[in-house]
Amino acid sequence: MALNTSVLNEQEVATAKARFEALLDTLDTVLFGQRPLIELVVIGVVARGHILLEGLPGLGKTELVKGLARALALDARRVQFTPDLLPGDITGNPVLQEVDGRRAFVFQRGPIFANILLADEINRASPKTQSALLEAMQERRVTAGGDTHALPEPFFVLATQNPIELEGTYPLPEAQLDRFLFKIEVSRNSPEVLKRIVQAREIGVEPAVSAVMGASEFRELLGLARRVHVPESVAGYIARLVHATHPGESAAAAGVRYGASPRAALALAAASKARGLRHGRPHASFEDVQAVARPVLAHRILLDHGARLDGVTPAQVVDRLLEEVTVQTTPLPASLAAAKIR
Amino acid sequence: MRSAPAKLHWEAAIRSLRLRVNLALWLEHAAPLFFAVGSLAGFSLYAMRRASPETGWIWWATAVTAGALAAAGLAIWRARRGFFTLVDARTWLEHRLGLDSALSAATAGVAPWPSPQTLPKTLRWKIGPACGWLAGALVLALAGALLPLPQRVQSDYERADAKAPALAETEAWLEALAQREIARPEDVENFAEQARGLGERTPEERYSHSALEAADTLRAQTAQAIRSLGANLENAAAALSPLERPAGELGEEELGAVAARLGEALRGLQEGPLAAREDLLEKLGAAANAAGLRSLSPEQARQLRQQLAQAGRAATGVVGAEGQGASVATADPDARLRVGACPGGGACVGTRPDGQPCEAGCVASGGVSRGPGHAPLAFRDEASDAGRGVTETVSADDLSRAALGELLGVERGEHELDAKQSDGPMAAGAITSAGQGGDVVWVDRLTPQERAALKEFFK
Repeated sequence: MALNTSVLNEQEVATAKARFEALLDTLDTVLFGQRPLIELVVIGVVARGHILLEGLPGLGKTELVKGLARALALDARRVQFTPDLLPGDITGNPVLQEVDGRRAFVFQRGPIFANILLADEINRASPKTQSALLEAMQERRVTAGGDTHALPEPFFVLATQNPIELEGTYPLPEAQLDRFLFKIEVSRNSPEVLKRIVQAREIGVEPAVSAVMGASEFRELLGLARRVHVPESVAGYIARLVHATHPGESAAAAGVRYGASPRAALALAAASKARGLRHGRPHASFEDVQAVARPVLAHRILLDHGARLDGVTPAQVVDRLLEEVTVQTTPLPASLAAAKIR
Repeated sequence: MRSAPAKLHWEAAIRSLRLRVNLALWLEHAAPLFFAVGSLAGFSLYAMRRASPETGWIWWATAVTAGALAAAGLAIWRARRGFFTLVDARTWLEHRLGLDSALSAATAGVAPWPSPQTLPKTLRWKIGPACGWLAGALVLALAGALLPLPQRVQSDYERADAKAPALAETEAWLEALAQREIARPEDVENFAEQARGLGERTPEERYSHSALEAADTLRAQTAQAIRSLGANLENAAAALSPLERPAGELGEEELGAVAARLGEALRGLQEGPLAAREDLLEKLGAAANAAGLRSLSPEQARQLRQQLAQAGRAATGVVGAEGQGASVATADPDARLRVGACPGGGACVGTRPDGQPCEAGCVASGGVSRGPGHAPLAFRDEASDAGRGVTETVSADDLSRAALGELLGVERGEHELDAKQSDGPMAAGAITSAGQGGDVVWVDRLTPQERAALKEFFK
């Protein structure tokens, strides 16, 4: 699809912002005290990206995804990934059926044929099954028995994985990790939030979530996000940031074995555009890039053994990159420093 | 889109920011270069002051200015890659002000220009190191200009440039003579030109033997000419004395004698190396015959005599110790008698009062009064330097000409005593001094062979 570069008008921007706000407010009633997480998830979805949520069990990851599907009035399926799960169990299988008096194989669509696929504990499935998602996530289509089947539009994979009990799991390969727009770490709740959960929720009862917009309105929102302008200086900043993730290209990249791919740059731009729209702007900014850099880049940076032994994490590398790479192309001379702005 | 003033406001802010950043970067690169230029300027200035305080200032200033301009240009060339562009400045400004890339979006025509606002300070100067370089350059340049020169250097220069004393004295005489308007200006100028010719020689040639001889001779000739002028003027004045008596008392014969004596003085005044001034000669010429003398009244004769006598005294006073010329003449009261008393300008020791040449008492020309002055006399290991850059020592190669008791100089000083030297009583076999360093080793210790010999001896 060609890039639509027409400038957003004020009305479109205001509409998009209002829809964002409505969606965020609704999801706030599903997951308490996790506004930054909710914002990232919504931004990732509006940027047409797949999201990997990583966190301990019981933090509301699945609940958030289900709430999102209901709020957007989209078709959502959930697949619990297990080691014995086969690719056909997700994509679908050809089934021998009698059609017009003759026996023939008819493709039986799997759970992937939905707008939102909730891949719960994705790292528990075998690599063969995980790889079945590759084509679907990147090209939004499924090939089975020589036939290609397009997935519904929009299509998102919202996967979760558990960072503990890793015995018998299959860590996602780099190629598959790269297909996720965001990898978001879900943190535990504070006592105040827990108290609120205890008072407002009950085990076994899902929160009531009403749809805030229809599928067409959501598709319109996706279209608006694609039309957000990325200024040349911001595009240059994204490029320099991604380039600096590679070994030898920056001081922050010391200990990095492999840096981020060009897909990471595209992901940064798309997420920045969505965030710009969420803040009522027809353009992306440096602040947008910096806000989404960590969930976009951290899982795309591969550290070497030395850095891992030193306890360095990819998130720390990204933080250092943000400090090192300046928004302007030319660094400030040593005889000048940024003044504190009151 | 917002109005043009908003655009102008932000564009001006962006340009201002870019200018400030680029200026800071340029200063960073230029400061060490300016320090180098300042150092060179300071050192060269000091060297110039030592070498020649009067010349080369324009060249120095031109070179320093060119050096500073070259340093500024080199700094621009070196800093050019780090200069902020307008995009950089805009990016920095919008990021620091939290404008969410509104300026970039407005430049691209995507969003309106933000409202003009009072801009806070986004940059802070850290120019300590650059100021240090510049202050260092300034201090070195000022040091080169203000640091006092060593006294010895000035003395050398002055001494090297000084004229020979005889020449300076001659010029002073001629200047005084010209001021008193006694002699014909052309004749005075003739002598002055000869003096200038000697004075224009280089310092190296000025003190050569021939130049010193020439200066001494010119001095003697000038003194002789001035003295001759004064004597003739006084002779003329003395010749006019009889005319002051009443007209009837002077006979024809006496008048003729006066005219003859006056004529002789007039010839001397006209034909000498220094002739008297024209108006004086005219007056004397008119009166130097019987008719002219008769026409003079006693009062006119008295006035003319006084005028001539005064001129004669003034001329003599130029080279003498007495009168108004004493300040410019030599301070030696006998100089008038000695100068020119011997052939070749030599001095006459023990002169006769009449000032006639004293062949027996003549000594050769030369002496300490000719050169730039006395070399500092000191009985030290180091040779003395009279200021010509050549060390001089007092020596007597031909001892046959050295007389006992000849006094070369006197200096107050102290003996260099060795305080460590023992001066106690000495007895045979006793060690009066522990010695220094390894001395004690060979004093106290004996070799095994020596010890064996001693044992054998005292057994």
